[in-house]
Amino acid sequence: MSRRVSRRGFLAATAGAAGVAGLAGLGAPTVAGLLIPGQPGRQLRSQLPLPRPFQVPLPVPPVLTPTQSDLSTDYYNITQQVSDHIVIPGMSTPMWTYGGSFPGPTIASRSGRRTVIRHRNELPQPSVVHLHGGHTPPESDGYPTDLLLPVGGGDMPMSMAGMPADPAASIITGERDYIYPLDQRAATLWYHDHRMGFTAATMWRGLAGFHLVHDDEEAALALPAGDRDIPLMITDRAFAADGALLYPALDPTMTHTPGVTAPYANGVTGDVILVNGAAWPLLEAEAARYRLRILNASNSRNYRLALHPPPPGGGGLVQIGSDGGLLTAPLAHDAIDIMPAQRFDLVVDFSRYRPGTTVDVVNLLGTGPTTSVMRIQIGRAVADDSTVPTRLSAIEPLDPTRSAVTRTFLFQNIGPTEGWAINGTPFDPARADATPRLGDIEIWRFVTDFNHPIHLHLISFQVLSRNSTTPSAYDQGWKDTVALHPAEEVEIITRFTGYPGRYAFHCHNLEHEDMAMMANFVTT
Amino acid sequence: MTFTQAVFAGGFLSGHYELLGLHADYGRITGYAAVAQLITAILLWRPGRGPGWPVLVCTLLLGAVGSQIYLGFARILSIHVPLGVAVITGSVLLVIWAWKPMAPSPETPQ
Repeated sequence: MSRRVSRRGFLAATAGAAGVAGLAGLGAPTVAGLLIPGQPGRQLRSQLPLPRPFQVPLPVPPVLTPTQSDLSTDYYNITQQVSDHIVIPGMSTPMWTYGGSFPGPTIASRSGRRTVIRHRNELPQPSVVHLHGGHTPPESDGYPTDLLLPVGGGDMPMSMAGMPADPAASIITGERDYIYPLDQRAATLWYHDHRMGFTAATMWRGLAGFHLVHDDEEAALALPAGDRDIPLMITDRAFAADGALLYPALDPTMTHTPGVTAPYANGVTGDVILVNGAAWPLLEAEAARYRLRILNASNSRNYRLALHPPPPGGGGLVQIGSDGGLLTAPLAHDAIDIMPAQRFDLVVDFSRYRPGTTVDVVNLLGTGPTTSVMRIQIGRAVADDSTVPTRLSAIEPLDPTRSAVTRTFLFQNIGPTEGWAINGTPFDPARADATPRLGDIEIWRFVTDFNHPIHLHLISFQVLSRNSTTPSAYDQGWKDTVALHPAEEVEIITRFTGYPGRYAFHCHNLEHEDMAMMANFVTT
Repeated sequence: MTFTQAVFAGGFLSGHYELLGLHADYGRITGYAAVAQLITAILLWRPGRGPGWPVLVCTLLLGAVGSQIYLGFARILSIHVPLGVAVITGSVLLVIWAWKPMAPSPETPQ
């Protein structure tokens, strides 16, 4: 046996195995695909022909009328119910809704004026209502175990597989009053289900709506208003052959086992883009300024939204606000990167286009049908007395040298069955992961593996740094959800104010959230 | 082969979720390959009458790859990443040695 042959044999034994395994391994993204950033989620494929785009007028969810108002408070009633919704022409899609519509009715509140919403649960399962972006006392914040059981109670299991029990949970049957002081700036908030372990499935079925807060500062600005102030809730879904929603739940009964089948662990996306519940709708707009309050209410899909064609000179998407209300000054973008739960408050001046122009809102992160979002058909020129002033509001930059404590949180996948964790541990309602004192300024550092939109309840924050340098163009203003891309680190700074109690913070990729990428802070 | 692991790691750090699973699967395969490599090195030494030091090197590599599997699943990345670089370096040096032209040994007709 020659040494040369032996050495070659030695190579063959190792490299041969490598070659076979290597070829087998190159399944998922192509080599070229590796050169662009990966996006969260795996796309479900609808089992029917997709609806033709731009056929349906853009729906605008109606503003709910209070059932009663007094000197300090407006009272509303919302019934959570299963109702049929039409997305696919000629078919009905059973959905879980607030008040029978998807999106649910819009609540419009005045800053500092109390809003009380009596939710009645006529769904087959428990629910939890969270006002996203609300500065809300803990009893009404919609903690994931503070269940509202269906009318009649049913026989709900109180502890579910793989989830810790929560002795501190407040569980009510039938109806619950959610009390919102709304002692906060004007902003685009939204409300949605937050039930522990099943939020992804219940929101996919339709439990989401807008809650707008107005104030005097905003009203004094002469921003586009009325019919030219439109909230846009962008979601993606996929449909079965009979029009029902597809969803890869491990437990379709949604009673015992949270989570989705393994291929969808990084998030569920659909091949149909809905805006305010309609597939690829059409907005017939006048050639005037419009305020478009954009919310990404998708479970896990990231979007990069742009106008196609852009208006002459570019910068068509003029951002005036973020999650937590107005920016200090308008900021013109050619495109908006928006992760789940984030809001971008935009003014788009359609008079920069010639009347008759067709403008598409496109998603530059999409493929195939998901590259398209909606179409705007620009009509005649009209009188428009709205303005976008160069100074919108004042924001006090929080001083990092006054921070009482710096906390670090690592958002990471810890294994195919273990799921998603913060600092290596899955969600446990009994554990206080941070205990900020009310009044204190704190710096929180977030470090990630994959894409994670990180959301804090109770407070808004400012982005202090991104990857040790300045925040991005999409980090401006007050945020409650910050975008972390793969292998990034972001520092936020906030002052904890308001109410003592237990609050959640979590990844807002809903499939990550349900598979336990959530933690608690307890304010004292 | 070990270099492929770096490609997969870079891929999932760019957000390609599937590549984390591939990185894990491939880690196990690398473990089997390290065992096969050690067996080959032993055969090269006896009965192959080759040098004995590759046995030592392959034993170290097998230990390193085994540690890598544990460190990776335990997400102890501060050791996992540099040790991964060391494994790649060791493997590359071994490949260079295996392909290096050698003087024919007296007992083989070359």
